[in-house]
Amino acid sequence: MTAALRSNVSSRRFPPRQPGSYAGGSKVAQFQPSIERRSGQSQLQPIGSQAAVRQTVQLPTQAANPLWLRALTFAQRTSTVVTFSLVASALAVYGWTVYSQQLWGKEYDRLDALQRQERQLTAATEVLKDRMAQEAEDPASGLSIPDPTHAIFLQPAPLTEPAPVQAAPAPQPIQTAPLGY
Amino acid sequence: MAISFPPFRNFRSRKAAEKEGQRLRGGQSASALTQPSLKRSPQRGLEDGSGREIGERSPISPSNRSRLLAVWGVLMIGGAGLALNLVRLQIVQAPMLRQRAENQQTVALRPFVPRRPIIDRQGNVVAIDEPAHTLYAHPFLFQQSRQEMATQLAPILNRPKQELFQLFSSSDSGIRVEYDLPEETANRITNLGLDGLELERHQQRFYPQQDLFATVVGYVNTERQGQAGLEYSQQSILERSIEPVQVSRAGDGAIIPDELSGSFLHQDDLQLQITLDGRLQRATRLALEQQMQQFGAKRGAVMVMDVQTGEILSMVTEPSYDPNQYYQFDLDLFRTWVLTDSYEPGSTFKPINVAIALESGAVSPNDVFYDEGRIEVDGWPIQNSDYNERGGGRGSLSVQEIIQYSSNVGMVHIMESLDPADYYGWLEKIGLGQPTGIDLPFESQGQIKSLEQFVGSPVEPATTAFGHGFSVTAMQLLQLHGALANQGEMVVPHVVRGLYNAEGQAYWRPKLPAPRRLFSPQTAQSVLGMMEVAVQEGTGESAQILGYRIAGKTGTAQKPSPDGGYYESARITSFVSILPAESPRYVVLVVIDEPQGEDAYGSTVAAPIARGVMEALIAIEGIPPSQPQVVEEPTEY
Repeated sequence: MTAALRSNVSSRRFPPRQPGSYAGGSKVAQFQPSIERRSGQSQLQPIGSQAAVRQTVQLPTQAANPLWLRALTFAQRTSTVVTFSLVASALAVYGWTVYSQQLWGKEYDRLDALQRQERQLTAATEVLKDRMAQEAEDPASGLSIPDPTHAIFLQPAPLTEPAPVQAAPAPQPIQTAPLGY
Repeated sequence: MAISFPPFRNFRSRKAAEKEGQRLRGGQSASALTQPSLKRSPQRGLEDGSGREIGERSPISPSNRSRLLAVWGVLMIGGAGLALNLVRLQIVQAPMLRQRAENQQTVALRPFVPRRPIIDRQGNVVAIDEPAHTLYAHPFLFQQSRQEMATQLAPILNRPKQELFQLFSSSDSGIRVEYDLPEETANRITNLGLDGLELERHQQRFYPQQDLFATVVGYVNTERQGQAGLEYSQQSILERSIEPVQVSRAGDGAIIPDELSGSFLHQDDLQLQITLDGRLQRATRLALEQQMQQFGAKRGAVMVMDVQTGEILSMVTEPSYDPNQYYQFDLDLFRTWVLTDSYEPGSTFKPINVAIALESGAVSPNDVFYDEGRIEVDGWPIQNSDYNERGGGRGSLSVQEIIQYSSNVGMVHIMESLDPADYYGWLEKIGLGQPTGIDLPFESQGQIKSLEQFVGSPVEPATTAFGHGFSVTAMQLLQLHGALANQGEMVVPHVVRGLYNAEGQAYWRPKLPAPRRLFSPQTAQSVLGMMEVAVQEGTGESAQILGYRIAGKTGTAQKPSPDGGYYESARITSFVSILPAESPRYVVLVVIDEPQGEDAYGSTVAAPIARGVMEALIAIEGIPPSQPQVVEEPTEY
């Protein structure tokens, strides 16, 4: 981040760096950024073309990260995933608690209404029954109080022994003669 | 890093920076100056052209310093103010604020907890709680004129608007307009959205059958207290009290149910079942009403009991009252007089006396007694009720004939066979002077003379022999005859079957005392035989039902007057019957108080009612006839 900022800012505001101020102690051939002030463009040039011919230019290789660093990176990535999933599930759980409470409230109102209706229905049914019974008491209704003379009492039928199952008759031979012509 | 903050660079004027740089260069070498900085932070090896490290702190000018101080001061004062406020809120005002928040966030949830319903034997609801609303008006809050309010409310309340207007004009606040508004009406009023009206919900007991069960069930007053009948005696069972639950409330007023216990929603559906049969009750009431109208009787009662269990199947008293509007009735009607009032049973007590005489061994069923028609005991005349008509006595009578003809003199002679003290012991043993123990309230016990009085004069056992000189309640007489019918074992009459849930499973049943043996089965059987003859050929002929064997006994007792002696015309006629006589199951007692007319006797007034009740009982309970009539098979098709 620092380098990127520097390239932007220094190109406009700061005087060009003295060559060699960095590379004084370096033994490795380096690319030296040379900044063209007039054109405002930067250009990479080897320090000397002759030297480049003689020496093998060794490109900077990406050194393998040490194990601890890789472990830390891995840990960071995993923890990011875990954190995000935890946050998501926490939000979901919170949402559910709020929603379930709302749902409970609605259902409770419904239960209350149903219980009220049940009571009203019960009372209405009983009032109707009572009205009918009262009307039935009126002689003009043509209904009469149950009277033993109108009752028929039946003697319970004696228990009958189940008839023994008879052996099935022996199968008759199939008529071989033709039934008709 | 500091380089990424342009404001910091702008903070210093370029001129000042250049000047500074010159001064520094003049003093020390640039490299020497930057060394410590590099050492301190190797990554910050950035310098500007002057060799000075970017981001380095520089002394602040006095004017800036004062500005900084001012900002710092403001921030510190602000911070201190916030801290003080925090202390005030968290420590000083904390209890009050917490209380306020609790008041706002919690609400006392008071679910509608109805009093338990009462159902009859078939499960018909006899008493149920309904929500009702009281409407209050506060005219000082009206947004409209009182006239307009009255006009709007009149059609809903079904009252003339002039009346409402007068009501609204009577006071400025707290006018009770209506006490028991049903829910729909209350909803309509709420939907009007009028200011100055207040609806208060409460429970109201509703009795769909009106006066049919009033004698047994009783009523509940506006304070939700049972005042008569089962509503009074079973108050603790019927009443359910759920303490209001404090629950939290969300911002929109919705209840947060996390603090509710499981029992909050799971109210039990238990109902109190009574032993009364609604159909029989109706038939009984009809029979009683008709006969009472015909004889202009003051009051009447009919009770039917299952003699084996003591369950009361029917209990009707007339006149009765509508418990929905109990406040419109005379207080006297709320008294279950078959329990509270005792009376002299008269001839209906004779079978009990005979059973005592037989059981004590003093008399055998085949003994014969001489009926003179009229005797004097200790100077008091005792005569048969038909003495004047017959002009004398009936001569020699067997015990069974004494019952059959209801001979007073014969009964006196039977009971003379017992030692008066023994007789008194028996009266105590069968429970005279003690309550029956029924589960209805305000039961009184009959009266019985003291042992000294009873033994002191021979007229006491003599009058007791034909059911006078002591008093019992109608319920007690029913219980005693129930014992005769139940092979001599006395059960406790009761009307509560228990608590049952909606599926009809029993949750609780009352504990009843074990039956108490009064008489041997043989004694009970022989007395029942005598009573059966009384119905077949004696005074109870009008209770006969074709095909059924019925045992019964009439009774016509003169009412005692407060100043001693008896009223000439005021009588209590009664009839007790037991069916079916061959295997007794039910006992029916009819008591009619003060029937008018010359021919008002137990046989003419009470026995026909008993027959009507028994006919309904036979049809409802499906009692097969004792002497079945063979239906002739049709010969032609």
